Amino acid sequence: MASLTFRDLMAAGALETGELISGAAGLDRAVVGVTILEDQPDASHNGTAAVLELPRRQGAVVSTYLVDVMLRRLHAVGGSGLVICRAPSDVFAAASRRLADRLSMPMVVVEKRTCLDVASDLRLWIRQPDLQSAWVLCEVARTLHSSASSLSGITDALARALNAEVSVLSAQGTAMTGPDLGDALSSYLTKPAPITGVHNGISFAALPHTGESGEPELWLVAQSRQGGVLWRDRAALVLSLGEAYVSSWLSNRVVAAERDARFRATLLGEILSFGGAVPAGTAALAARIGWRLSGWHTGVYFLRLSRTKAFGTAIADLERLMADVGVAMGPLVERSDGWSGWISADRPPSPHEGAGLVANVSAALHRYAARIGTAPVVAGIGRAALGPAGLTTTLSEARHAALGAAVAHVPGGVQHVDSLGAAQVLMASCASPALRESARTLLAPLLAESFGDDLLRTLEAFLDAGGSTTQAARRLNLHRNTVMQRVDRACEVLGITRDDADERLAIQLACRAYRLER
Amino acid sequence: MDDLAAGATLLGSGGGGDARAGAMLARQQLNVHGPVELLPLESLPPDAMVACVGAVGSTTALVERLPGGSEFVAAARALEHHLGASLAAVQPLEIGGVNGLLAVVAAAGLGLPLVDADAMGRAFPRLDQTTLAAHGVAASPTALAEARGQVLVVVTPERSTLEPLIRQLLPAMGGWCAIATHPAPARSYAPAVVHNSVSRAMRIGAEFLAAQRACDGTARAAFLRRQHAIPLRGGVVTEVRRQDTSSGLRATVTIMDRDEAGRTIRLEAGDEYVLVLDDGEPVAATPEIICAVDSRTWTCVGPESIMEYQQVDVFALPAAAAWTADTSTIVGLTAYGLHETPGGEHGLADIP
Repeated sequence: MASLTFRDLMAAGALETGELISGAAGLDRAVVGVTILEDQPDASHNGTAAVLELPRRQGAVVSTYLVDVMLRRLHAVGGSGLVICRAPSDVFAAASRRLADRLSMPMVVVEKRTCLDVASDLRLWIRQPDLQSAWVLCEVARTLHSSASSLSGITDALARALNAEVSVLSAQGTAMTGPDLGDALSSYLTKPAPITGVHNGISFAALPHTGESGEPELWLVAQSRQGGVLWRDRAALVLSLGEAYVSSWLSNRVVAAERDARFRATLLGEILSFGGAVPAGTAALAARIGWRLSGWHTGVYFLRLSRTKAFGTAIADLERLMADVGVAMGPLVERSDGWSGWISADRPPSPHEGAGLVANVSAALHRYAARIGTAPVVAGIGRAALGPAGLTTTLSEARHAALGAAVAHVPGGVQHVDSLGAAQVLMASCASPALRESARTLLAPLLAESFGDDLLRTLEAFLDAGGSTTQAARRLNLHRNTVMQRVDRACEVLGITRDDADERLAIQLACRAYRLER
Repeated sequence: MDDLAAGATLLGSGGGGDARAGAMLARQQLNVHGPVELLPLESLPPDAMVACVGAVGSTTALVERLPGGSEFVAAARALEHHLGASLAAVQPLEIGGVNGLLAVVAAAGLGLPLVDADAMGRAFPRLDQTTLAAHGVAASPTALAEARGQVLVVVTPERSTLEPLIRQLLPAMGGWCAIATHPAPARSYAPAVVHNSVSRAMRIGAEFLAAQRACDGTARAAFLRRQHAIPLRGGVVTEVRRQDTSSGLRATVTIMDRDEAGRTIRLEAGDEYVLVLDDGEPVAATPEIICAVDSRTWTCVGPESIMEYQQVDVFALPAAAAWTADTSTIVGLTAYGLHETPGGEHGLADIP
């Protein structure tokens, strides 16, 4: 086991309320024992922390020069540091502070506690650090049990136990509660494993909470200016105790969010199914969760491009980002292939507001992509429409626009229904579930091939290039002959010829529809 | 007179009052009454009555309400009257500070010889911190007199009660008064005083003034060698902390060493300088005579006037032989309400 240092003792709270006056350079000296100084130190004081109580006269501390004398002699016999009890920190002359710094002897003042009290505490920490750690863990377990109802309650309990700053960071490094430690430590939080270390002279410990995917969803982080190696060991233990509570808190929250999401999805489905005539009971339910059905609605649809990627709580980030860019929208409602949201207003929006909305949603998507890594979502925006019937219309327009954005490359990934091109309208309407199903059937033989994906990609590029192998080769960074060979092979597998225009069109449409599937 | 004043100031260890005021008065009294004879104690008959004469009380008050000379005569006469015997000679109570000069004033006024000795060998703040008291020569009866003519004779059966009693009387006497105390035959004085202290003060004073004028490190070092002084170090004062405590004013001075910036000299002072620490190592302590002088002019700097950013040199003159280890409760750190440094002086190796 690493030997205990003065820094550890300070961080452990063994010198509770202690103030380091000077001699910080000696904080990493090993401490092997503790003595109450009554006479001058001798060889037996090697490696010990000495505890001193200065004489008093009529209540006031006198003869403060004894500190200098003791510091010097303690240094001569290899002592580790000096703890002065029952003295205010402002009675010490510059001479004492200078000397402690010169000798690198930590000089700590504990104003309110007696020598015996401090020495017995120190002795326990020095002789039985494991016992003390166990005691701390018991204490943490006790306080966590009563304060686990909120995330800040958990971090506060951990912070008290570790005498340190504790916070919970999201996977992206933003603080969810506690001080913002993400900026300093995010570079260490790369692998989903517990980590301890020192950053800019400050000790830290971090523990990930991993989700189903094995990726960290949250980080539990503690840092202490005084912490040494023992503090880091203990912090790792205490954090792992706290992680169980964070995990349970998170599960509760996910369950609640899921329940809310299901409820919203069902309610929206009902509203849309009634068209304009929403029954009173449904309208009352909508009002209770803050949805207004009267007024003008502008629909926004976020289309999911990837089926496989787990979004989990990350969609909540998108909600937050939308609020950040000034788009006042309620929680998003999950749909079969994305999320719906809408903006309600008393008056119809002016025509130019559409462009502003596109820019804002685009900005939010951009930031979202920066956090998530790739851009897994595109968005569409519908025209403003009145009342519950209008809500159905605008949401359907928004989805249509989103499909248009998905099949064609739209800068910013956001399309307004008004700016859909004729081809996009056609493509989007072709991207119906029925067509997608047919596309899958049509392309199935090709996909069953080894390297089927490559063949499909090459075939699509070839068709998009209007049958030019040269252009397709340039786009794919391949040799012209490779493109030629792959296209021949693909045609052979699919049982088509390159020269038949109908077959070419069918395959090209199938490729587009399949792209949406992915 | 200048030599005596310089010597008395140096031996005052920063306390004992402003010797210049005493020197002016002494010079004037010598002009009026003629010269004073300085006698070694041995030249007096064993039965000849001797008493210590000087001033007691606030040295600040003494400079504000200057003595006229007659108070010392009045105190001595009152003591003679109470004893029913004449004094054959007077002796300075303490050689350090203003009292080293006031004995000359008394001797001139009384027309008596001055004994070349004193009862402290330096300056101390209390009346019981004398070699006479340490040797059991009674201070009682003691006579006090002040310029307006009030005279008191105090008889105390116990040695310890005199000092607190006089401290209580002083405000009524105007802050300070002349004192004539320890009346005893020369026989009792002989083993109990610091001999030759007046002539020593004059000699040290003369040499100190020469060193002061020399403005030269070699001459000043030679002076310290001749006095068997402990040559301490010098530097710039970085902090002065003053504190008003029940046992008087106290000052702690932190000095950054001139040659080694990390090294720290610490001075502790009550009315006088009482302790010097060199990087936490005690190098001189009362009753050794600790002197702080301005590095450039070599004028003495007392605890009341030392200030931050001042360049000072610190050295210590040896204590009078009369102050042995047994007397540390009378004149050691404990006498100043402080605590002895455990194990005394150590001589630890320099900090690497």
